[in-house]
Amino acid sequence: MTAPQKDRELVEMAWDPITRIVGSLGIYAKIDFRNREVAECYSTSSVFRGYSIFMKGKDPRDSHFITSRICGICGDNHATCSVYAQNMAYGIRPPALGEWIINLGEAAEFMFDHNIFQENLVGVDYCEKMVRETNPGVLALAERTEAPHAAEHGFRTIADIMRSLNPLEGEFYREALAVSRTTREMFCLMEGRHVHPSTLYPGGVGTVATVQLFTDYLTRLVRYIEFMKRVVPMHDDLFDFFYEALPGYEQVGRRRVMLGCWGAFNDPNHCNYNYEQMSAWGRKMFVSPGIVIDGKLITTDLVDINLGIRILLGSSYYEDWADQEPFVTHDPLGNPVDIRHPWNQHTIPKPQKRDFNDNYSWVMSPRWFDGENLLALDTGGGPLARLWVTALARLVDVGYVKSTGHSVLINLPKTATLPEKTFEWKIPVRNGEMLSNALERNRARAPTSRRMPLRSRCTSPSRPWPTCGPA
Amino acid sequence: MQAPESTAAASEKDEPVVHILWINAGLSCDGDSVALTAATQPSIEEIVLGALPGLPKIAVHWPLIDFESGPYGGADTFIEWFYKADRGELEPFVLVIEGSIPNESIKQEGYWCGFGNNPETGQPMTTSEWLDRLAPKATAVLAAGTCATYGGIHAMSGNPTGAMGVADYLGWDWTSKAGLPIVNVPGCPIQPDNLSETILYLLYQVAGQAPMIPLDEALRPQWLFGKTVHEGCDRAGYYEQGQFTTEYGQPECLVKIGCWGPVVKCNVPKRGWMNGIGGCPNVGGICIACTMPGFPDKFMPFMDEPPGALVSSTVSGVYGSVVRGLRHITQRTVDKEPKWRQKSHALLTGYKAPWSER
Ligand code: SF4
Ligand code: SF4
Repeated sequence: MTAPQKDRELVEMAWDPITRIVGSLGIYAKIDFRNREVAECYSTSSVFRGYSIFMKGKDPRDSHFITSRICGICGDNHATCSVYAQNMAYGIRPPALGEWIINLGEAAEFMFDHNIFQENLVGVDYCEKMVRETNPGVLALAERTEAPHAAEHGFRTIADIMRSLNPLEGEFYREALAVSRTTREMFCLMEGRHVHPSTLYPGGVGTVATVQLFTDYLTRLVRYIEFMKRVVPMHDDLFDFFYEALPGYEQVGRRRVMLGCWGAFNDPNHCNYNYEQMSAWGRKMFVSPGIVIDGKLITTDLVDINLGIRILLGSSYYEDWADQEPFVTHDPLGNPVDIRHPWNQHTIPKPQKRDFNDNYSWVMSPRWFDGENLLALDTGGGPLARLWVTALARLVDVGYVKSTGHSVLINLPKTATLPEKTFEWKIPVRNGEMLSNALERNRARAPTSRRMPLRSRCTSPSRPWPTCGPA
Repeated sequence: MQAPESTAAASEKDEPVVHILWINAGLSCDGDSVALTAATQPSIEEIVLGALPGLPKIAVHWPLIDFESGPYGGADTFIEWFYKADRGELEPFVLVIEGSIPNESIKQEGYWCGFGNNPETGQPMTTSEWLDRLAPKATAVLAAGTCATYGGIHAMSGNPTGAMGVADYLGWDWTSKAGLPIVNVPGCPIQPDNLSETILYLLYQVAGQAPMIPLDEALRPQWLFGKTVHEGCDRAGYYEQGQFTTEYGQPECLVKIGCWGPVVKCNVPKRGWMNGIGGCPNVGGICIACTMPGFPDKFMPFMDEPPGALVSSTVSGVYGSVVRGLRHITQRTVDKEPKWRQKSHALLTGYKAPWSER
């Protein structure tokens, strides 16, 4: 409930550029400090490059090399999506080994991304230096608070965890940066280069599959798993502490639970890249596709997910295309395709002054149409939606990862110095309310799921992979 | 981001601090920033913590992992360092530019890319305006990645922004007040150690510990870009034996499926991508020439065999010197940017601008 207008004393605050995120993001807010409320908030992206314009007329076989350059942290996701789209367009199915190599590359990419984002980018928000400057009382409390899982991660108090996250000085910060490099080596083993892969092609990969290739990957993976056995309990201690230390922290970054996940990791035994059978092979992915609204799973059908997408202009610097000829009116199954579906999108830039009462961003506004409303689905940065959907869909059981219908079990094998270990990601609930907020987005990133990373610069962050394309 | 000891404490000891101001707001993907976090020879920690002997004290102002995240006019405001440099209060500093420079003068209003705000107008400060303000005050300007060096992907034919490289914008014969030319480190993205090593060299040079950085005619460090991909490729033996693969995932030479290695200047097959792991043709990825001034236009379609490759591949060996001569001709054309990447009031890329119809 917002306070009545006359009581308001609004303070304008702006952060631009936002640091520790990839992309040119700015936040402009009006804050009502008396009522402890952000009254207005605008987010703007200040860069336009024009991918969907300059890719026109180019050889489609080159497209994954180009779309990769949309993002310098998740370039691989864009390249992979483009390769999937090309496979579908050309009607080709890569050899199973090629599919596994792509999956292993993608998996390494998620490990890298979660690791660097959580510990070296977001982690700094929770580090001792930051908390000392912003909330000295919270730091004092952290000094007095014993870490519940100290035996697992080795930090006695919460403040010890915070100190270890201090940029460069913190030991854990540096260790995590080093681990992020090992995960990138794993990526390079499968896909040649990080962040823009060199060995991905439509129809397969150029990677030479040798015994050594997989040995080199496996040894690094197992070391990473050993690291994660310490990291997950450490994150739990840190995030749970913030809920206790700062009452109301549940509200930070809180949104209605509206999550969209396009699935990840195709199973070569099922995925034939045929659109007509996409609903079936989509459900065989190792991360389930689906849409969760207010905590309920409303579909796991990739065709429905795809067809529901709409690109709105929002407050962006583009002209409308609704009066133009559609590129496609129906999908291969005969379903109608909306003029605002990305398949029909035209990108018509209209550079203009930034005006927060009118247009103020180079980013359009993707939505998902549920038949009645245009919903601003969020991916929770990726992992929250992936875990939530996978947990509810109960489609995944590969031993190491199992969906229970209400949680995801992650079974980690024995590693050099640590025994087997099972983690369970559960739907986040506090005081009877389901939570999609800043801390839960972070926590979801900790175990093993994928976020569509740091994509403020990707102009349509919600595009699903069958249509994932440039802007 | 800087070493634990504060700038203030350092200047008390009268040790000058070299600031590194990093603008990632050209038309980029931030992949070169991300690449720098992958580097290990040296690593960014080693540079910032002064782990190498003779390094000056430095303070890095780098959006990707900067601690500073405060609001305008408040504490710890990241952009404040750039205003300080503009006011002439930071000395010395190295300016790093990531991303191509769009042409802001081909349209009536608005901006293609901005980095913080212009305090006078409240509108985004464009990257080219930052260049106009800061380049004259910088001790050195480093263009990181192919977008910043030569325009790259965002400057391909048909692009709407008129994007170009830093040297196209400032002028190829531009020199800093300290007499340094623009230093170009191309790569899409940049090979991590190629960037960290060049930064290290420049810091040594600024500290008076190294001679003038040796650059070639495209302003690249000579020791990194003096050889072709092909000369460093471990598949060159197959090439020489005339064994060319026409399939993915095979160990033979890739020239028939689109490798441009013979005419491309890049050390990646030799150096690997990270810690000697990965790369391009050495691990099965065709060289798409991502370090080159002519990238991408002069090498597309990437997935086709380069014209003339078959001739040079069939005659390889016997007519080696003839081939080298012929290659130099190709090399000269692909080592040049396409003509439309330049400062001009007209958009020359072939894109018909909807905003100019009014
Ligand atoms: S793969 Fe490319 S770089 Fe390697 S030998 Fe063949 S042509 Fe040369
Ligand atoms: S080998 Fe070719 S594609 Fe690979 S980094 Fe060098 S120039 Fe780029």
